[in-house]
Amino acid sequence: MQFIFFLSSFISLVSIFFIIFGNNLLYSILFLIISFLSTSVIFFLLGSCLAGFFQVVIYSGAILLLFVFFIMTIDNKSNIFVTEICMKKILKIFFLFLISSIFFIEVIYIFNNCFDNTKLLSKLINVKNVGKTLFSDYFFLIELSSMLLLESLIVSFYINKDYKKF
Amino acid sequence: MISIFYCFVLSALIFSLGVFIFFLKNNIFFMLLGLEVMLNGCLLLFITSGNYWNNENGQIIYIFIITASAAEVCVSLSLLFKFYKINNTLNINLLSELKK
Repeated sequence: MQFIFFLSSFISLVSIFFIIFGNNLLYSILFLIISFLSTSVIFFLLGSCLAGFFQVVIYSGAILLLFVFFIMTIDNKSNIFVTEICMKKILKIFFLFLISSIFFIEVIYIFNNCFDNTKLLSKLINVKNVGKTLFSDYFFLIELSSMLLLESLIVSFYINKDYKKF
Repeated sequence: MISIFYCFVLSALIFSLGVFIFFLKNNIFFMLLGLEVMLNGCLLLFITSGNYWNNENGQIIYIFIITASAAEVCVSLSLLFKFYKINNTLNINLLSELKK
């Protein structure tokens, strides 16, 4: 089981590196989908099956498909591929390394204070309990999230409205 | 059997690589992809800590974060489409409208 975890984490990290050093838009979206699918394998291994299903069906199946639709609408031949890493960015890269090292130190500090390393993660969480708590304790939040989705639909329709016709 | 320390390190790595994508690219589209990668790292952290305490609240937070990210992607892609229609480019350095 540990071998599958390391393999999927390696695949997800390598595909994110391909996004950093790549220039094509469509290939970067495909690598992002590969990264999300390997993360869903990790969710299944941890025992939270509902999150793994949602990662496959909703995240990489519906949300990332919007990016593909966006690429279909724009012109690929124009100069949108201006993403080279030049020598001027070395200072920026050093600064980013500083930020990410600070973040790592914070995460390891939280881990040493609040978590026990000897405990292992392989317990299956039942989907039925998730549905019960979702529709009893968090019922109002579900209504709010549905309102959020409706608002995003209305806003995106309003932004792309053609004012010359109306 | 998976140790919890590896999951923490993996989520931190994914988040920091998302920060790298967000700051190194000129293209707004790649910056959106970096935001998605950062959200993926956060989701892995939520699922891991929810599984550590044998609790369902981690997956419930996962569902709400996915809803918020769907709304964000919908609005931001429509804004990008409008930007591309007006300026015919997606470079972040050319899209400074407030300077004019």
